[in-house]
Amino acid sequence: MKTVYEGLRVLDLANRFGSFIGKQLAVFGAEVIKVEPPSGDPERRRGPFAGGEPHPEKSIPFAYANTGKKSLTLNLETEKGREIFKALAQTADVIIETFEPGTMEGLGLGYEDLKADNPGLIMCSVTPFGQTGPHAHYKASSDLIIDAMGGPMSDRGQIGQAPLHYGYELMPAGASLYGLFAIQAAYYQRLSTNEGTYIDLSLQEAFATWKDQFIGDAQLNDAPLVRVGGPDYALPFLHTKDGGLVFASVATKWQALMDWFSEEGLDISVFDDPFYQEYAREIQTPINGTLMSYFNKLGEKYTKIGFMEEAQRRGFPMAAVEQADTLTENPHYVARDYFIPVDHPVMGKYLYPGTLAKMSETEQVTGIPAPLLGADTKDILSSLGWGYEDIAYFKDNGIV
Amino acid sequence: MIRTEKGEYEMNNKRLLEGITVLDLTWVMAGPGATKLFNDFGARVIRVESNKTLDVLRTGWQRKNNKDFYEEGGWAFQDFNREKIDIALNLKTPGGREVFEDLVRISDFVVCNYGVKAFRKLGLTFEDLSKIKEDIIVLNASGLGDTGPYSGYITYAPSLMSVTGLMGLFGYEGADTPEMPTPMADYLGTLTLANYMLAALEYRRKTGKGQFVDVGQGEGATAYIGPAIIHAQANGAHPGRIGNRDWTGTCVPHNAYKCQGDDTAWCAISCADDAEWQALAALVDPSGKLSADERFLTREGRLSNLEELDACIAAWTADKHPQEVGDLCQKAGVSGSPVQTNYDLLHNDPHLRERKFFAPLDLEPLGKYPENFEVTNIAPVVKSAERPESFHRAPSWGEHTEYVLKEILGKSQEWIDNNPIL
Repeated sequence: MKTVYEGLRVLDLANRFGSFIGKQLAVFGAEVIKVEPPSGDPERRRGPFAGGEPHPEKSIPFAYANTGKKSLTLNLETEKGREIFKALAQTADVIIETFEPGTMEGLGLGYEDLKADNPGLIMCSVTPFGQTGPHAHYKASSDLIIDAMGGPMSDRGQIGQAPLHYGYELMPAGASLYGLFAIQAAYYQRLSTNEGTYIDLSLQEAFATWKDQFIGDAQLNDAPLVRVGGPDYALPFLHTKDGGLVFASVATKWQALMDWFSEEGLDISVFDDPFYQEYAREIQTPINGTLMSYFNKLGEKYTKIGFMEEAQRRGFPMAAVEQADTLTENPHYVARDYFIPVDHPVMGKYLYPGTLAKMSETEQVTGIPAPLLGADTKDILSSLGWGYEDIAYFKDNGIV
Repeated sequence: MIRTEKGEYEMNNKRLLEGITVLDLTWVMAGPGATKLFNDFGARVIRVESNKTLDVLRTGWQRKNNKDFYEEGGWAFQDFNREKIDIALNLKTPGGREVFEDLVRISDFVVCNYGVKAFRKLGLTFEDLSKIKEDIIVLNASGLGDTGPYSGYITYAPSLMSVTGLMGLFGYEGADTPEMPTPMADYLGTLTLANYMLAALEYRRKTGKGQFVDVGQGEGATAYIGPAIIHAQANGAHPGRIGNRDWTGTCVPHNAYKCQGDDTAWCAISCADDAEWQALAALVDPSGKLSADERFLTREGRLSNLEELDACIAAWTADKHPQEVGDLCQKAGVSGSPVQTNYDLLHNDPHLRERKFFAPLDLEPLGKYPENFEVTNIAPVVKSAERPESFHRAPSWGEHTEYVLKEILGKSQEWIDNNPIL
C-alpha cells in the first residue's frame, strides 16, 4: 500500500465550492467518481476555456478542480437514475455534495436514506451558508456574496473605494479543505465505531474563521475594523527595472536598511529627522511615501527576483510579487519540481500546481487529467452488475 | 478532564479524534490554527513553549492595559490556543531535551512551523526524532519548504502571499500595485497542515510507518490559483488585478456598492444569468425601463457596459442600509447581501448565532477579558447542534508543566527538583 486512501470510494456531486475535496482525496489515492448529469456538470460550461472557445472539455476551472477523478453520468431526476445512485452509494465510503439544502432529501437521497443501507457512510455537504439557520437558503451566485457575508472582504481595499473581494475563486476552494479535515476525522472515528458521520460545512463560517484574529478586536474595542487609506498612505510595493514588483518590508532592521541604501550610493540624510527614530522602532511594513521612494530608487537597479535575493541575503523578509504567468519559471518552484505536467486528451498539456505538501513515505497521485464526460459510466455500471443491454437501455432513455 | 493546581475542568467536548496526542511546537497563526482544529475535534494537544522567544500572539493584539503576556496573551492567542495543555521547556537544556523526548514517545505527531535552519538546529527532523520513536509523524510548516534555493528565506504573511502569486491577483483593476489581502497563505497553510497530519496518521495505521511531511506554506497556497496559472499557459493571458469582477465572466454585475452610512456601509450583488439580472433590474427600476434597456439584456452587453451598469445599481443602493439591500435582493431571488464587518458577524448576523458559530471562552481563573468574550467555532462542523456551548481559555505560559511532568510522564518530585528543564 503506497497511497493513503487506496480502496476508498468517493462519490463527488460537488460544484466548485466542494470539488477540491475530491481532488485532494484523489491525490491521497482514493477512487473519486464524479457523478454528473448526462448533459455534463454545469461547471464544464464556465470559462475561461483553453483556446478561448467554449467547449465542455476545455473549461480551465473544471479541468483543474477535477484532476484524478472518474466520470459517471447519471440523471438523478429519473427513478432509475436514483436507483442506480442508491446502489452505488452502498459501495461508497464518502459522498460530497453541494446542492441547495434539502435537495438530496427531496430526491430520497438524503444522508438518513443512504445511511440505512450503509451505516459507515460519511457524507459532507458544502453550501454557502450551511444546512440550518435562517440564511440556509440565502442565495449566493458566486463566492463574492460569501466573502461579503463571511467578513474578510469588509476591511480589504482603501477608504472611499469599494471593499475588495478576493477573486479567482481561491477562497471557496481553500475553505472546502475544512470539509476534507472533517471527512478524514470522521473516517478515523469510523475505524473504531463503524459509524458514519454527516458533515455540514458552511462556507460563510469557513470564511469567517479567516477573520478570527479580529473577532477579539470587535469585542474589546466595540467598533468595526475600518479600512486603510489617506494622503500619507503608501502600499508597500516597490517597482523593479524589469517591470516587476517586490513586497517591501523593513521589519525591525532599520540600521541594516540604512547601510544598504548607503552602499548603493543613496543620500540618506533625510532619515536623520527625529521622526524616523520613532518610526524605526514601530514599523513592520513601510507605509511612508518617503521610504517607498527610496525603495523605488533601489528597485531601478534590480529585477524583482534579484531584489528579493539581495534583500533576503541582508535579512529582510521581502519577496517578489510573482504573477500567475511567471510562477512556472520561479527558480525555487522549479528546483522543488512543484509544477506537474498534466496531459488532457482534449485540452492539451499544461503545467499544474502540484501537491499541497510533500510526504517522505507516502505516494501522492498526481498528473491524471480531469475525466471526459461519462468516461467511466460503462465500467462503473458493469461493476455494479448491470449488463451491456441494461446500459444501452439507460443511455437510450436519458438515464446515463 | 485535566487537573491543574487551579482546579479541574473538562478538556474536550468532541470525540472524533479522541485518543490522538499532538506535540505542538508551533507558534503565531498557521501552526496553532491546525492544532486548534485537532483540539476542537477531541485530540489532546500539548503545547511546548520556549522561555527564549515568546509567541508573538502572546504579545500582540492585546487587551488594553494588559502587561502580563505570560499570564494572559493577546486575544488571537486566546482563540488559537484555547484548551491546549501548556508546558514551558527549553529544548537546549539536558532536562528540557529529556522531557521533550519523553513527550515524543507518547505522541502521534510532532508539529512545528519553524524556519528550516532552526528546525534542524533544534534537532527536530524525522531522522532525529525517529530514533526516539520509530513511527513518529513529524511535520514542519515552513514558509517555502524544506529544500530548494529559497528554503531558508524569511517570510511572513505578506511576503509569502507575494512569492506564491496570490498577492499579484489582488487589487483594484488597473492599479499598478496590489492591495494588502487577507493573509490567506497562513490560513491555507493551516488547512494543509491539519489535513496532511490526518493523512499521515492513516498511512501509519496501514503500514506502521511514520514519516516527515514538508509543508511549504507557499506551495499549498499557489495550488489555489491553479486555474489562473493554466489560463496563462493555454491562452497567453496575464491574469492580474481585476477589482471585484468575476474572473470567469459568468456573473455580471459582480461588485460591491456603497450604501447609506459611513465607510463600512457597503453591499455586494452578483447575478449569474439573465434571469437573475432581470429580477435585480425590476427591483432597481420598478418602471420596467431598466429591465428593457438593450445595453444590459445579455451577459455580453452587461460586460461591455459595465460602468453604466454599476452606476445604475449604485444609484439604487446609495440611500439604503446594507441589510435592506440584502433583504430586498434575497426576497427577489437575487444574490445580494450586506458586506459584513467583524462587528456585524458578532452582533448583526442571526444566522451565525443560531448555528452557534461563536462560543464564549470560559476565562476562569483569568477573568480579565469582558464577560462572555467569544471565539469562532468552525469545528466541529459536524452537525451544528452538537457544537459545544463554550471553550476553556488558552493556557498561561507553562500552566500545565507540573501536570505534564507528573501526571502524563510520571516524573517524581525528586526528578523535577534535580532536573531543570528551562
